[in-house]
Amino acid sequence: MTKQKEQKNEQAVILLIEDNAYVSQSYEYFLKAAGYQVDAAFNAIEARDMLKKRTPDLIMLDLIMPGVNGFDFLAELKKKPKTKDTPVIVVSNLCQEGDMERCRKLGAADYLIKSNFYMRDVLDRIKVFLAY
Amino acid sequence: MPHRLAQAMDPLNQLGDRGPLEIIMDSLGEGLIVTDDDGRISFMNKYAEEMFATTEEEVNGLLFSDFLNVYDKLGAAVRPEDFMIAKVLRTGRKASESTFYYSSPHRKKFPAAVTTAPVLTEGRVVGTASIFRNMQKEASIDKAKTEFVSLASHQLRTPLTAIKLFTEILLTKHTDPNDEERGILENIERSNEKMIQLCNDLLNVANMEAGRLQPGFQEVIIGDVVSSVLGEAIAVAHKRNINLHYECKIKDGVKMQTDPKLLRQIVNNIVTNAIEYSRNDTKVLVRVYKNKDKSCVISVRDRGIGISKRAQREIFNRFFRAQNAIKFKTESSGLGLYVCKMMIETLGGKITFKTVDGKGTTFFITIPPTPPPSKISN
Repeated sequence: MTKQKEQKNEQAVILLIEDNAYVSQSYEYFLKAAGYQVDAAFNAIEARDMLKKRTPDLIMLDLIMPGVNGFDFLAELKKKPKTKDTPVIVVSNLCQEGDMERCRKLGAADYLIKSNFYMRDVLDRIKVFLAY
Repeated sequence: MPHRLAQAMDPLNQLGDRGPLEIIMDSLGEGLIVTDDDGRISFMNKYAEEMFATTEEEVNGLLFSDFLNVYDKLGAAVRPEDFMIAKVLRTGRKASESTFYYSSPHRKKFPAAVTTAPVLTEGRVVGTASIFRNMQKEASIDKAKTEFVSLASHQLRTPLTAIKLFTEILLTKHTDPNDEERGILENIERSNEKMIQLCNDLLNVANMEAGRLQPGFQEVIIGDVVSSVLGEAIAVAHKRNINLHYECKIKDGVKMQTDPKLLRQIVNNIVTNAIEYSRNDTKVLVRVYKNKDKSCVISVRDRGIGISKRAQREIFNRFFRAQNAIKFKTESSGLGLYVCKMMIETLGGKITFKTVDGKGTTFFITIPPTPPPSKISN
């Protein structure tokens, strides 16, 4: 959480980029229940619009998406001054070591294989980057 | 027989400059390469010429290893002395190999099934005859199948993830352990986890079959890997009063060059199997020791149901499940041992077992003293 937010004692904002409506809906449910504010985007284009309105404290990013894929969008996020320091957790069902390595090189803070993680575990990983 | 063959060859005697035997050999639908007892090529039929984009004149008298490059299924070069022509010359016994790839100066790598037989005169090996069958088409079909499995299991995981998450949401709302609906939700969760596991296994297999599994070799303390696996397995073992016992007489643990992640998966699979197929109130003994050749062995012994003689030959085949195993534990994909075998072979090692039907089984995971030769790309 950024210093400014800490001072204002606001809830942390998470930008969730996930194209599957069901998965997105359940993530949003848990994130809100855990006290986070959620901006949910179904693709990179929507995410770009949301980023214009506010800068999140953390980004959850899927990889296989229509239009701009997650790898390219991760690279884009890490180039933009506004988001280059924002932790990005890749949450994908791609489970190849090569995909993980590629994301790490592009600057992802963490990589979770969607189907192998319960939401309670995902929340634990998020907390690492949003420690109060 | 010789008489009938002579009769059959009679009309061929009238034709061109090729002898009747050569004409018959050229008519074979497979490539034929004959060598002398030094391994020098002495004959090649038309089909083999096409297969290797060469002519018999060009290769006649060449050592087979100066003409043929041989690679195993992982792309590593096979040493000439390990190739079948050399083996047959040494042993005098027929040999077959259907997973290797071949290339020649004018032909890129292609898969072929090869059978090499000794050419014998009065019981003496005077050369070899190898039949090459191009497997490119079969390999393409197999590749398409692998791609399909990979895609299908990947696509399945997204809806399975949604089921997992929605179930988790509902479970947070049914916290009373006596709630009947909580029990139902837990059953949904368990079934879903099994589906996810199956998809993971299928993906694993597809990736390995496609040669996408690249091991990362590093120094690994074998005892640490085993201890970590046993630490996780202990809870399940306790539930059935199975005693997990670890034994390693080598001080400071055994250090080997291997891939820790793959090794962990292999050990985990074998230990989990040992527990699952053990009878209640028995012991599973895991030992780590070194062989004289400096290879390292992890042995896992159980007092379980054993493997019947009939099942022993097929136990490492994919989707195979032994009859007694199905009766003992109905749900399993039959992929575990297949995956283990592929993984340990990728690490240059092997997996074997000893078993007594109804009494128990010991699996031996052998890690070689040095990693296999570096993989070259396909």
